[in-house]
Amino acid sequence: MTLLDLLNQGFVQHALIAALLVSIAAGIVGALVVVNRLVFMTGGIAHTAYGGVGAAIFLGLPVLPVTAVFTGAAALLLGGLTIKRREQTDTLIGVIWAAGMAFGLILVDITPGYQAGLMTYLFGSILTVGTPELWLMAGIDALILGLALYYYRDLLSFSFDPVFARTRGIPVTGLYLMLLLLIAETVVMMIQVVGLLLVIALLTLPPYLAQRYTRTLGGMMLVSSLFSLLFCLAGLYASYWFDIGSGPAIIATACVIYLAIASTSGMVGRLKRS
Amino acid sequence: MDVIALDGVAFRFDREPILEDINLRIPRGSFTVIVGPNGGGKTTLLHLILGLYRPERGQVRVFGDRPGSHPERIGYVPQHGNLPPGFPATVEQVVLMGLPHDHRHGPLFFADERERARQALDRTGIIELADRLYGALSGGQRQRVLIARALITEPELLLLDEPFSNIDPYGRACIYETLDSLGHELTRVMVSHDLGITRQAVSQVIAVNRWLVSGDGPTITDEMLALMYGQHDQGCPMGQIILGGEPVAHDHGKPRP
Repeated sequence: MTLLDLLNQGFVQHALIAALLVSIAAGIVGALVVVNRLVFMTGGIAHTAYGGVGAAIFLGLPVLPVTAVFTGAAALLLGGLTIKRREQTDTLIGVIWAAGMAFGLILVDITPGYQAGLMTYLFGSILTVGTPELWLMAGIDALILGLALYYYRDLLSFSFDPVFARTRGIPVTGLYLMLLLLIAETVVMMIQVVGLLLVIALLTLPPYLAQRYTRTLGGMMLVSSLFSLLFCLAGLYASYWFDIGSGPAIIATACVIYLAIASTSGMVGRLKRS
Repeated sequence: MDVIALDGVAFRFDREPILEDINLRIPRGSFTVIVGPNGGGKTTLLHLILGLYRPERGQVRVFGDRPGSHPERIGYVPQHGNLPPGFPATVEQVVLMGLPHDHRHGPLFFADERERARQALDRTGIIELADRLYGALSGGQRQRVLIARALITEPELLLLDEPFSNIDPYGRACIYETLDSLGHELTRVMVSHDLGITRQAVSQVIAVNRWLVSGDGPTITDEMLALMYGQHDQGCPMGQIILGGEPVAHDHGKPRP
């Protein structure tokens, strides 16, 4: 099969659109996760999402919408708890992380029948994305893009110096909860592509790279999105070429590219200094 | 007219009393320095004035109103050490973050706002740094960027939290010069754990260590020293050194400008 034949397949086209839609969200939200140092928090939210997957399977409802509601609620709960107990943030994330996972596993366990598709949610399956999922992703993208553009100034100030932002009358608590909600919805979107165990890599590696090349938060978001798209497309191709799972292929590609760029620029830096 | 008025203010953090029975008046146009040991409640006092904390007892009034009511009239310079160094923002963008939250939204700043940022940078003497990355600057330069961020609204009250911590002597000299040049219509309140900062421009020194002792003029009294560090034997020359108003090397032998 040639590359052109491949691109004519409906499921491949869906996968490419999904890669683009996910990259928009991953770039914007990933940049905010990295500059606000919310990587561990994002890991917690991603694993909690498994509770939503379990609940949907148990109730026999469509997985993505149920997971979107469940994960959003868990993120807000986590946000509410950590605002008042900032010094316990790590502990609370750990608890919610494990509790969400356990809840999901128990619900799946007590659901009668064999759950063949479970691995799909853990490691992703971009090649099985259907049209309704694409619409859901486009909706979440529109929400994230709209809020990020409208609140750009406030998010910038909040991310740089939250205490100072409060003295300017910026609603810092509201922005924090909004950011956690956006992280939750981005995670849900990405479950289809890389799976909830690998979400964290696609949300952090592109912004880490983008930070090297950009001078503004908006620029970092844009370049992160482009890196994310590059990782998804290269990973998809690697998945086809080596006949391996798409989720792990995307993350492995991202890691290889990240290490290549990081070590090259490290060497260039040393050469310039010497 | 007093810009800041605190009456019988008490504050606790996790049931731990931080400040008790604080009474304070800061008149318009004055330059007040708040000294005291680390953990004595100096920053907490600033946060009460900013409206970031609410007092457990007593009343705080700023410009006669509840704290936090007039963000555009107050400039705040926090300790710079807490800010993320790798953050993607230019100096101009950091200064623009000093604008109060209002009806303007969206990803772009307007020409009039950028002009105000340039003016604030000009006032602190670092206009040439406008397009540099904030993270690439020295400690002293960053501190002056944060002062410019506080000045963008042309505030009537400037609150500074330890502006000299981790700044080399040259950087300190530049910041002193900047603060001196801001004009006497601006009310300035500066927190410092460093007793050597008092100089002629200072109109009053206040010592805070859970309680507050205030005096007249730029002098640290024996009563203040006792509050901060406990009762010591008489004959310690510290009070006389500071009385002179000249910055003198006395704290752990560190050189000063």
